[in-house]
Amino acid sequence: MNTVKIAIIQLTRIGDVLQTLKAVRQLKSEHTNLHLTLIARKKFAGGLVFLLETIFDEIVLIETKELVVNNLSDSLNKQKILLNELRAKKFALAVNLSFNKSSGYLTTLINSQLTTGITRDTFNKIVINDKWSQYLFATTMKGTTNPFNLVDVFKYILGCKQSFPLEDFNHHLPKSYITIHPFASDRKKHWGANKWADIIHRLLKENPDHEVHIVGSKDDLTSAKSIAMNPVLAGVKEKVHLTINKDLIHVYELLTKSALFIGHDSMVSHMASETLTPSLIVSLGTVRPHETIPYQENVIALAPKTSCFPCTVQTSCDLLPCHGHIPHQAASTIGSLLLNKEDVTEEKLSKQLTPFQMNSMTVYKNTLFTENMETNQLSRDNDNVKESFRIFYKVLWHLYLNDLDIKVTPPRLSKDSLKVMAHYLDGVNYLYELYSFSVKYSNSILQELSNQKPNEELINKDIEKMNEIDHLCNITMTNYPLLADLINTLYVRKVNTSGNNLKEIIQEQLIIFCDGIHLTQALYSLIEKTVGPSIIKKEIREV
Amino acid sequence: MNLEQELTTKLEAVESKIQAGQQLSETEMELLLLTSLIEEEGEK
Repeated sequence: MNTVKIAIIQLTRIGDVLQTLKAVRQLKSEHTNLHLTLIARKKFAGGLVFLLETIFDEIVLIETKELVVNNLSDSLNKQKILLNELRAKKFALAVNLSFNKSSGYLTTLINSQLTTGITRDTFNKIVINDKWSQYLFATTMKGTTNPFNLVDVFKYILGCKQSFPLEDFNHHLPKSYITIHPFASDRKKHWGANKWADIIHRLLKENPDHEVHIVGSKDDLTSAKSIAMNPVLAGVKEKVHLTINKDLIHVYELLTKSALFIGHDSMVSHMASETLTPSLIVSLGTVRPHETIPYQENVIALAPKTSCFPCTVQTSCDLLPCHGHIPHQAASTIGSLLLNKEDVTEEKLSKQLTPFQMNSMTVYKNTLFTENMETNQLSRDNDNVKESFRIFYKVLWHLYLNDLDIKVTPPRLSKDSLKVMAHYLDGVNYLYELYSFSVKYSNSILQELSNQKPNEELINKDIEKMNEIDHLCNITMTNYPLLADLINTLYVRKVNTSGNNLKEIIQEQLIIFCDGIHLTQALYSLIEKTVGPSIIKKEIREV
Repeated sequence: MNLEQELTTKLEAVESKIQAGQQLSETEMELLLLTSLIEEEGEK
């Protein structure tokens, strides 16, 4: 069997490299004839080589400092040497799983036969050829209704069909450590020292046979000390250890000895999914738990029910309301349940937490299926509109992008939520009409182009109308924000049509607008079924 | 001229070509790659 050479480009952070590793592990398990080269930044992947070399045949680490010298010409020459080395490998496929600028240029410049993910054309325009990368570009870290974990999206981009669960070879070993990573890259994403001290205090009180290891980088030293030296922990300070600025292999070993990991969304949480350490993730600020929750079964995530959660990187926030919406008692209670290998259920939590504490947060739980991983609310008794749309999109995207017909349990909504949902029927209907008009104008252009002497003025008029429709789609998105993922995905698809002339471009766009019609019809039907019979719908609208 | 000044000057020329809708050469794309690698170096 011929070996196929594939370059996997991942130039973003450590967490992304670990998520890439998981997806590529699956690729390798499904195809034995691949030679896989990872191209990553040294500062993000360098510490992970001990893990990466278990899957990748070759790892190329880019160190910008080594490329940049005193003058431009020498710097470009050094970069050229690197590029030529990569070109000489003659990759059959280059997969860009990172969405930053440099990765797009690099993917283009290594001259592989095929590419997926972001590339650039010679006019410097972003080009994304495959549907799943287009979806990722349009939705991830932007909207709030993406139902897929990033690892699964990476797997779909790579063409994988299934999930490859790791085996816990250390399950029989006694584990007395609790690893805590109470830090994150952004202040909005992590709690302060006092809250963490309270959690540690309660965990150690309820689980006296365990000891806590706080892990972090050298930048986290002061914060780590302020947790460990907190007066609340005075009676247990011999059981609280700091593991700061250690190699990632050291953190990995620590996690293999840990019965529990607690932290925010960070690379340590993804490493805990490599060691299969039961984990509790506290999601705050910009974190979208469905996208970035560690990819393993034994994970619980807590998210605040704050209306502004999740926010965006650009949002400035001084009061951090989402930080107060997750009670520290919830973290320590769930932590103790996971330590004792108990199932985390709503019933158990209700016994130990007050209704006020329960109602201020959403508890998510992972379930690993053959094809993918799902992150669902612990209780489905009170779905909200956003969660419901996530369920609808799961059905739509699986059908549209994976050709997979999945079954889901319809959402259960309160009367107030049903009112909002009914309002969305109008938005979806409006969008359906816009895509129908796009089909009409595309057909009109194609009709004109089929004439011996096409009327340029008529064609330009139709193109202008289609541009107006783009503008109206944006207005619809403002009025119905939960339709953003659908509108953005189809827009990204539309601008990435690969035709060589106007006719080919319009033909491809016509297919996308028809897809838009089918998707809006399906979404309308899902909403209608949720809202109920038309009489109920009318009553709701009249309220 | 130091590296930063050289980069700024060259980038201005490339930017003008992009704005004018002209095709970029491989060397110009390589310049954009180097620039983006430097820009992203500060990311944590």
